[in-house]
Amino acid sequence: MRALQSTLGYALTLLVLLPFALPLLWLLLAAFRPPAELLSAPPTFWPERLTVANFSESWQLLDFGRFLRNSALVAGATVVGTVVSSSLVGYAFAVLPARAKGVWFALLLSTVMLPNAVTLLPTFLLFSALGWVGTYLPLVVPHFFANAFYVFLFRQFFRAMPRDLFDAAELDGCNPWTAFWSVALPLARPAIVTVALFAGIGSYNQFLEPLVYLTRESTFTMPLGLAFFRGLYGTQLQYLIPLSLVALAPVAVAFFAAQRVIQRGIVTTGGRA
Amino acid sequence: MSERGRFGRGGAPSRAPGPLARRRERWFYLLISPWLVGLLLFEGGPLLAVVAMAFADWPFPSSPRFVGLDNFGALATDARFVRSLANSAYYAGGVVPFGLAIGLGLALLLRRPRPGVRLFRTIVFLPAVLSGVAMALLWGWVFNPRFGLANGLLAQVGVAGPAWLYSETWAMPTLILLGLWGTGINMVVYLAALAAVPTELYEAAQLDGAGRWWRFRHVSWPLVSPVTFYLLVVNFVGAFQVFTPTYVLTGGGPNDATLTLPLYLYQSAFTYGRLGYGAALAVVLLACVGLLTLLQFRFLERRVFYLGSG
Amino acid sequence: MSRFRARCFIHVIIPLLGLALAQEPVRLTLMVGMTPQELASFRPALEALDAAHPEFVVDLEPVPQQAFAERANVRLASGTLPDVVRMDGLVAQRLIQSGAFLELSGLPGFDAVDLDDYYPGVLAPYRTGDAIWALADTASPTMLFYDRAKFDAAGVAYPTDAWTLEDMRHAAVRLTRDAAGRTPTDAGFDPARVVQWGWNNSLTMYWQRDLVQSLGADWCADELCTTFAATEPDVVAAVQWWADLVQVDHAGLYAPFSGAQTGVPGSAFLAGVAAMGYHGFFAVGQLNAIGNIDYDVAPPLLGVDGRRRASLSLNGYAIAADTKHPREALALLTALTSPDFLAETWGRPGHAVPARRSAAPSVIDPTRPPANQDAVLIAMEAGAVFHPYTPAAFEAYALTLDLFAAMMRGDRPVAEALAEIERVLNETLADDRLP
Repeated sequence: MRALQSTLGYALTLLVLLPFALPLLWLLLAAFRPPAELLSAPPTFWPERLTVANFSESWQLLDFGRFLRNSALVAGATVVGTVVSSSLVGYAFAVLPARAKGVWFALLLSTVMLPNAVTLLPTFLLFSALGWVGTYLPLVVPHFFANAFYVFLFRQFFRAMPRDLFDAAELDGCNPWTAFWSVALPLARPAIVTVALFAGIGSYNQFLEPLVYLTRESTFTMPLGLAFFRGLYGTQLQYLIPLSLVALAPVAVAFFAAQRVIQRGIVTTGGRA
Repeated sequence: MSERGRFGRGGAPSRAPGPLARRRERWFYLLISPWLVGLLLFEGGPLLAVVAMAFADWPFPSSPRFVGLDNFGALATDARFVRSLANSAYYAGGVVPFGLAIGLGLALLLRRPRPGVRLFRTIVFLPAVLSGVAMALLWGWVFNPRFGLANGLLAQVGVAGPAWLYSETWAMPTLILLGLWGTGINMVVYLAALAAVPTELYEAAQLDGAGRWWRFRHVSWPLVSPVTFYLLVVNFVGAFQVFTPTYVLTGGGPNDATLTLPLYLYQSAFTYGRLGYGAALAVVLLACVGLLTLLQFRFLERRVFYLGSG
Repeated sequence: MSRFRARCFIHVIIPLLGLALAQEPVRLTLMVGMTPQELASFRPALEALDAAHPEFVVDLEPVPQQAFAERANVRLASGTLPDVVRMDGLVAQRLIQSGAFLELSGLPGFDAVDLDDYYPGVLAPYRTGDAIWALADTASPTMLFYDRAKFDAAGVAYPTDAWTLEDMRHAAVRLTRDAAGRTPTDAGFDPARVVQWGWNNSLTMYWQRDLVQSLGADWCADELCTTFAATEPDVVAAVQWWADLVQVDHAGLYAPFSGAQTGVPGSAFLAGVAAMGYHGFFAVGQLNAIGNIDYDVAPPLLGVDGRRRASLSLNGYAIAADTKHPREALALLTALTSPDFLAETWGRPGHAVPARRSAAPSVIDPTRPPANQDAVLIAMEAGAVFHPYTPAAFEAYALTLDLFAAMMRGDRPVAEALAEIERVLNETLADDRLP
């Protein structure tokens, strides 16, 4: 009975996964198809010919190795800044009292309700006045000042934890700052990994900010490099697809590794002194 | 159990906060200072600038000029604006509830460490982080009316598939499907939340003879409700800002069927060069989403179960 | 010790001082929108150019072409536009109107530029009256591309440079096939199952004025095309000709680029399902890269008035109005548009056609397809950029796109759709009209 249940479970899982897996499979196959097959009508699922030329040719057209390294650098710095600042602010919103807290929280959330495209122009003017255009500073520094989405997520995580833990720490003489670092943060590992993952991927995939702030080719990030294949007269799919997959690979690896932490249960959150 | 408007940890609202509470309030401001400083330095100025732009006529790149409420007046009679707002609401209404449900379902399905489960989760997660252009191409292939996978599969079961992205009735549902395909992010957040549920609770329930549905209904669901609330709010905010699929796949068509507010905003501001009008649209978007979020906090957060407040 | 110090001073410090006081080369920023292939040939040529001009040093800022407008907008708004900018004609026209650039004809040294060397159509978009705001460097004119294998299979003679639109239509009908291999004139032809179209397009946007003019009518009421008169009988007849190509002859496409009819987004000709069509010169590079279509080119078709018409995509250079080094910037600009540089960087690699007669023939390379490359030069002589290209023009395009598709598809009668199109265009373009 157990075995049957388990097999059925697997079958159900595979069925559910199909809509996610099939298109990805098509994309993977498309990366190895010659340009003629990609652009000809009618489109097919299985390739007729396979080639690795798309990968090797595209890699040589621009310095994508460098772009990957730049992307990793920016993403890494962003993750550190985001996690530290957002967890701290989220903790404060979750645990500490304040009379105008509702107002502050509303203000926090409203900062992310304006589309990026419109705030880009005034923000650019600001950074241009500071002289930061042409550097990585506009891409990284703002993330050290907390991101509304992740503050909100940390707030939810901290509020879901038993309050006695933090109270006990404060009774023991900790101030909220110490309570945060020594009690709250260690318990928030799934949240930290989640936020680190999302912040890192968000920074890695960003296109608009690198487009307007980076000027020298040697500083370009991966999405910016990929965009060069979208010309005025058409998109060079035979290069864009393999490179998109190459760009996706580190993300997949990072996610794979992060799962270990996310799936492990926290056993001691409940009422143990 | 919302703390907003109250002071301290529950109990009767006090008129004058005691010394301990005052001290803790000072710590509150100290700890949120990174955000406050950032607001002052980086976010506040641009936010105010956009609001100010909404009161100007700015045929970029020519100079702006102040016109008061003219943009908002024009908005009120702009049929395309109304259409875009309706389209955005349609999209959000389709993507958010189903996206949450599917994300939770997948998280429950894939939470246990079984062989291959890490690969399965990755397969679900990757579509959400795929670049916009690759995703657009993919979807164009899947939903092509004549040669795509979707209609091919439908034909196998004898159903004549619609024109998907080229049909006025089916274009938005197709985009909604595309949005649901990216629900891997919801799944990941739920996985993290489920991981934080104390396992003793499940053990206790099982000892009492509770079945799977009971354990979900009375343990998992309430304990991930903080995250459900979070995803609801955040997904709605995101759904009203979705831009890349409409820009790359449909351009708002056919016949404005997929013209969402962010796309209309972008077109007005940059393609048609009416930056002031675009800013006014942005302010309206902010107001709508803000109102929606406010309503959710006011009426839904009280139903969230926070373990910490118990 | 002091003798060493004195020697140090004489042989090292003084020359260094002298060098420092001597002329410092001016730093110029050059922003370009290019594909990686174009960058690959541009970078080394730019370095050589830089070395040959000690009075300036060039910092290159490459930008992806599709995102060029975003980058230009923010730089313009913040007053940090690079000294020299290379951009396509559409972006340039809008920036010119906002006063972003320096007027070139007034600059010292500009009279050395031989304006007569340029093809007629390439200078017009960059001029307002006598003022010149930018200089074209390359263009991509439309030409008639045809698939020889499909022509051979259908037994149709190849296009010649004497072909008119009617000749095209006759051939297109014979080159259209449904899934069973029937042509539109065969019994039992199924229009819903076309697998090969004779012509890769139809009349899908209001910028295709040349397609209407070639049939003897004109829907623009003024030269800059900001007022439309699309309901005149001859205009209706011309548009009907194109609609018939789609609905009666089944030889044209009502959705030529979306992929709705062909299954693959992009040109039907490049996808291998159209026998011929108009494309810009850029398609040569794409077709050669794909390599599976045996194609050739012919000059654009002759209209009923015996005139050839082609549309041009342009690229050109301009100097920022607030540049600190106008003299050096002009020197850089003229060097970048010199015939030798154009031939070396654009013509010979085959990226685009130089906009100057003296450099254009460099694009002809007998070692690679197509065979009839002289057609390019004929097309350049006939080329003109389409109007209008103001911000309102894009809005007008978006608002009329569906109307054109409905008209070509047969969902709306031509006369009625044209009346609606005329109304929308005149309303939208009202602000752009010059007094």
